[in-house]
Amino acid sequence: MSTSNLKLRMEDLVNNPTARVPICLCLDVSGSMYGDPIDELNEGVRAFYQELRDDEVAQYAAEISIVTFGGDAECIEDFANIERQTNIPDLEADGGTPMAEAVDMALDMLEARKQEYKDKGVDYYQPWLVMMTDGYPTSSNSDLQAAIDRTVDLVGNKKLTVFPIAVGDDADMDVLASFSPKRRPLRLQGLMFKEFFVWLAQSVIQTSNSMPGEEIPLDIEGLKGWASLS
Amino acid sequence: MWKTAEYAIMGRGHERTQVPCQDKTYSVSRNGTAVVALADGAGSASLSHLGAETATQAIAHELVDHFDELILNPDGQAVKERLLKVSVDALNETASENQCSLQDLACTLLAAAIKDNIFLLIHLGDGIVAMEKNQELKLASAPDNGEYANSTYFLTSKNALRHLKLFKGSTQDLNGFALMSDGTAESFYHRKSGQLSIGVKKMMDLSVLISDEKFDSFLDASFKQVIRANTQDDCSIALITNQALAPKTYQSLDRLAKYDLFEINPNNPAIAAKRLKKFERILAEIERCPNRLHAVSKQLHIRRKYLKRDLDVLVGNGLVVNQKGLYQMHLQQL
Repeated sequence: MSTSNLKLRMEDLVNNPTARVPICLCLDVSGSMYGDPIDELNEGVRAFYQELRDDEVAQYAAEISIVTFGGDAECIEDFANIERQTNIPDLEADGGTPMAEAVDMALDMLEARKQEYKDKGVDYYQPWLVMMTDGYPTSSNSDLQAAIDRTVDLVGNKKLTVFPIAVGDDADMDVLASFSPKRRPLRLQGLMFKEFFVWLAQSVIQTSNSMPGEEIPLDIEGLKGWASLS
Repeated sequence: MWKTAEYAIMGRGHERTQVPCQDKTYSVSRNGTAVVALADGAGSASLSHLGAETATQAIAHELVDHFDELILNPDGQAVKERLLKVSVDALNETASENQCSLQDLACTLLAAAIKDNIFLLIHLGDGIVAMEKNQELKLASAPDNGEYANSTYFLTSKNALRHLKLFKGSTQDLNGFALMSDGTAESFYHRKSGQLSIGVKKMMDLSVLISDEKFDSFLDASFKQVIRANTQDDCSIALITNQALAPKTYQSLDRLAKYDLFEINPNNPAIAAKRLKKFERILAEIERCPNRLHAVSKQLHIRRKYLKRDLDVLVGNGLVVNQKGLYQMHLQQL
């Protein structure tokens, strides 16, 4: 009696792209970050990529862009699959803190990326904006208010998740809080950038593996490794 | 005659986290009505596997017991309200039995019911319904998601009624429906183009051509070895197919599908074509006159040793049955 080997083959199926998690890192590289902070931040960003590359799903799902604000707001890395982002430029600290311009640029880029996903039939998760600063914004009040309003509006409409992170004791917690109506800003303990980025990567990994109807809660225990919750 | 088949398997994501499979399927046939149902429990709802089980059974029994009433009601909105209420009432009962909230049982719902020459189809949430008609594959109902990959509509959602889709129609030339959860649809539904893969037709066609047992092992091998590898999510499928169209279904198979059916190696086209012709001659002869090995051998001038090997393939995939040495067609008029 022969046994049947009848089964479907890969060529009988379609190939859909992995659902993407777009993340924009909006990072303060103003003059005050000079020295150890900027070195540690660079280490942290590298660790972020490494963690994501090591995950079976997140390596295809996570898409990262980086906007820096130090003197000017600048996009130093546009969205792409992380396997293509092999030469992330080292961040250098210099200049003022044009936070509003940077946030505006980050939101423009997230919007544009979402539109590309829609045009190409790629599923996606809610976009993430990660804001890190160690000081006070040097943007004009009106620019700052416009950026805050835009961000708060997106968060309120479930179009954006914001992670506001303060570095050191001199960061403007009030302005960070005003960008984030749902989630308090967190203060990085010392220069634990790497711990933060590893935690962030784990959150991305969880999200990229989530199923319909599943919301990923904030990993409060994991926060204690790098943030002060007081 | 309408045939049903179902399959559900835990996804790789849930295997890692040891969460039960949240995809559930159910089928029931009585009073001349055949029903299949499928539900996908919400990821973060703690008992959504129970919700999916409850919802599939509740909707299937409602459809099978009240098919005529539902079909004759000209008010589609009232039918939707009734079907939603039956499902949610059943979920409420399960919630009180398990002392959990309704939201803990959140799930999507898909169901197809057929009686005489009428079908009724319902769909809420993600997942898809594929339809084969006149041997052609079509999308009967597309996924209904929110904006994000991890959002959709459940029986427990506030706006469930608005998103519940209801279809009814004639079964003329209908080969059947395939209901799929989103995990399974990942392998069969191309989101950008809205096209279905050839694999859906292959599954639906095989479901009417080969025996239940062989079809179950075909689904098991296909899901375990191929479809599950394409997703982290649980995967499930429920099929309802028209066995009366088996002859047309066989004729509509392309050459490669026929090679698969007869386990013919396609690498040498000339030999493969010859083998296919031989199988079709054997089937035609057995269909003409059910007989024993030696008689078929004599009739077709094929040596018994080789004929036995080919008959074993046909018996193996359920096209032919061997009853105490008498070979006959599993289905008439192939």
